[in-house]
Amino acid sequence: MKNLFIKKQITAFVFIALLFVFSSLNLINSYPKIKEYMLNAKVTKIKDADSFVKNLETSINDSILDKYTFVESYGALQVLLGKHEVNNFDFAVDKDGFEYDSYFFDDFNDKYADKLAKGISKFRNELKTQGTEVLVMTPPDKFYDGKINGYTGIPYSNYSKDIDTYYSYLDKYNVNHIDLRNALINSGFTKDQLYYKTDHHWTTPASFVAFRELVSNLNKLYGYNLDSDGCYRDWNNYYKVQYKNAFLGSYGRKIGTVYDGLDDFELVLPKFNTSYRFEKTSTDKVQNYQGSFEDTLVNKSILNINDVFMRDMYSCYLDGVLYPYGKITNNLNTKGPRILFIRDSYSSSLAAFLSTTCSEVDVLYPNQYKGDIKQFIEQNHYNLVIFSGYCGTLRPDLYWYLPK
Amino acid sequence: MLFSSIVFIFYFLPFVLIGYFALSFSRKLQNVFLLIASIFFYAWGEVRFLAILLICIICNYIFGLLIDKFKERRNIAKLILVAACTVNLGILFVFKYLNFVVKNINSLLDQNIILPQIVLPLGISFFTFHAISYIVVVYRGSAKVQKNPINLGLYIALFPQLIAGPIIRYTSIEQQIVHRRCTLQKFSVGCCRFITGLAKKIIIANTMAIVANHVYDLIKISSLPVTLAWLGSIAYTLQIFFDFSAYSDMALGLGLMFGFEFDENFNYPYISKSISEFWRRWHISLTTWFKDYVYFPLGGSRVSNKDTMVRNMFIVWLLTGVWHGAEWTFILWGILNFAVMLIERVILDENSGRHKVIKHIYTLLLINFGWVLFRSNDMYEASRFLGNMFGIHSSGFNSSYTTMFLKEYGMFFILAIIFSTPIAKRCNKLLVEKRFGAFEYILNFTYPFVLTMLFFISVTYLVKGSYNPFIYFNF
Repeated sequence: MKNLFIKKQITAFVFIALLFVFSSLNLINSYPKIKEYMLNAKVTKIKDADSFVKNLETSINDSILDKYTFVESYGALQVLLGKHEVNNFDFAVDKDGFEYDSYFFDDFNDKYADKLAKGISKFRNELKTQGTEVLVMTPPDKFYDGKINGYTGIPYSNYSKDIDTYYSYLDKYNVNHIDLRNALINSGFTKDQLYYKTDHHWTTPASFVAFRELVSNLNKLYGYNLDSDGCYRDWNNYYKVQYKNAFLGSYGRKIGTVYDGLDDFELVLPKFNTSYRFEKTSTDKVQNYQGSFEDTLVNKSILNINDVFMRDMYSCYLDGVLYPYGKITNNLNTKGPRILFIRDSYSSSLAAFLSTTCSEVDVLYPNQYKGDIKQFIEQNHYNLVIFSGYCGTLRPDLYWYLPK
Repeated sequence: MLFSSIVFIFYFLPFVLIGYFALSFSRKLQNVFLLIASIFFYAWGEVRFLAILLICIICNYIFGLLIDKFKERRNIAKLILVAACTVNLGILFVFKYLNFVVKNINSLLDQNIILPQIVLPLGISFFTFHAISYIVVVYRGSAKVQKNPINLGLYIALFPQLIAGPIIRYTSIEQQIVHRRCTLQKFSVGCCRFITGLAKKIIIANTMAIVANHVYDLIKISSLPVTLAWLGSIAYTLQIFFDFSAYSDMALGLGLMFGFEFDENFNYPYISKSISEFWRRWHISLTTWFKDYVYFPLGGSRVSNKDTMVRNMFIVWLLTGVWHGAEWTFILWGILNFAVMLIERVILDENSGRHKVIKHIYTLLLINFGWVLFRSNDMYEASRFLGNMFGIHSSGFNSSYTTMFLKEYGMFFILAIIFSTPIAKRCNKLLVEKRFGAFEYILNFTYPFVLTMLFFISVTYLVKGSYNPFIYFNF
């Protein structure tokens, strides 16, 4: 009986010691963020108090000490348990180590696809009167080839199949669109080279394949004469800088490197001369960059971050996506077309590559742009607007600005 | 605030422990501190309902004083008791049942009465039952009136049992409010109990919830294969036990850390050999509450007329069903429990040691079917689910989902099944009786390590933001 209580007393001592040491260190670590949140919060009604507490709790959870050590431990546990789905089917891994979103219900149906296509078509008709063309390009996901080496029963998301439904309705309304799947299949690159295992995005080589396909289609559909000698589309005219085992994608940051490992990242830069101006408009400031492709369109500081959880290498092109609007001016091609990408994160490197063939390529992220998008387009007199939302974003309302 | 949250474990709990033990020189100050902490605990995320909790405390404090004042004049005291019960049950009715009643009146009488959306305050069923317990025992004279509002507030709102029970009867805690002892032994046992509860909730219950919730989501849009329906129902059976008993473990553990000794709320209910036995082992504090404050006052079993006993049982189980939620599924679930127990009284000899395995299987099956009814959103869903379990309108026999869930969560199912039996308790007993020989030292030595690891794993899951549902919102 004595032993029974001794072991419980030892356990209690260890528990209390851990609790107080960790709580104190955690408080010291989180205090600045919690203080900042509390000072900025405005609570005037009881209803505000509930959301204040909820957000404060989120802030407390997010700023916990050594968060990524816990994430790594969680990943290690999942390895030990032989788990292939992660965090209540948030995402799942296949036998080749590729991670996919996971869902049990397919909510992209004909009705929604029709509504989306109809909205684009109306938008297209309205812009046509201003002399602006519209094109839809839907980057596919890892299911681009229709194949997956998955585990039995796990409901891996297959957003690429939604492209077929969506495009059939775009055909119904005669909206121009580009299907990139064949280009990726015939690119000569393997799936490992086209998609990250730890992230939902495509790689830089894949976006280059998409750029080539896009330029060919623009020439064909709209009679442009972009890159007539094929110089900009020649893979050999670019430097490739390999970062081996350096990139942890968005899935990976949720489960850690123990479970996931790391992806290689390839930085692709032109060998030829370039001269750009890149204007990045955030909600509170405008940043201007002048110089070569490498100096303006690539944020190299991201690549040098030490912490792999904070080093989002994918965002190095155009500084990622999390700002409302960016304007790329190609000083060496003043006569080329002016193109607007209404985009998501898939288009960052793609827009950068396309800018080599155009006079101006603008990028607008509708989730962060608060103004009237149609008015914005009319004021800027673009030659072409490309709706470039990755197939996984067809479900969330990325297209809120479309006419009903 | 939930026990299984970062803010509770790393902010609230250390702060309250420091404050509480720093005030060890004064029990009164400790009680004031615990009450303030409990109110803060409740207000965290439920600020708008704080007034209801405070009104409940103040009203019942006044009702208690009034009943005590008129204790010699029984009619007046009885009138005050009725008024107190009406206020408490009225609050519960408005917030928990009014929408349900109006919905049924609308559909039955083809009316269109529109009510504003009423949100259920967290833990209302628990703290109103605490309040009623206090008022009734003061009326009966089995406990003294509480003249200190802080002490009464502490009984009604003490944070370990505030939002998910157990339902503590006033008589069992009356003395402890003022005269409890905090000992190292109690504190240590409390810590271990809290860690065990936390691990049960985070590691087992939340994992079972993933399987159960996906299966119950699937039934909303399509029929289920037989194996998947069974797997989903078993997952929920395990989820509700581990979730609920884990909360009770944490509540008991926290209580012990602050010197309170609450009665046990669960006693391995899934080893029962009859539904009657199950209810002696499941949510014991609720069953005891209904027995003390409804069944016995109605006459209980000691009535001359058997019909009266049946009526009493029916009332208790109808109320038990209704207490769990405002939906026909809960009412039917309560009535079915009544019916089964009535039949058991007639045909089942509980004391007989024969057919143990068959009795156990029968009980588990009925419990499982009961939880299907309990978990379903409505009767239609419940009937479809139960039908699918037996191949009626099911989509085949097996599905790849069943295999996948078993592969992904098989280990958790095994752990859940093992720890729903008293295996750990028996091992502990053997350990105390020194029946393990040399192995005893290894077990004793690894105990702190195992519990520390369980705590670390639980925190890892919490930090990671894993699925962490709270199933008492309806209670």
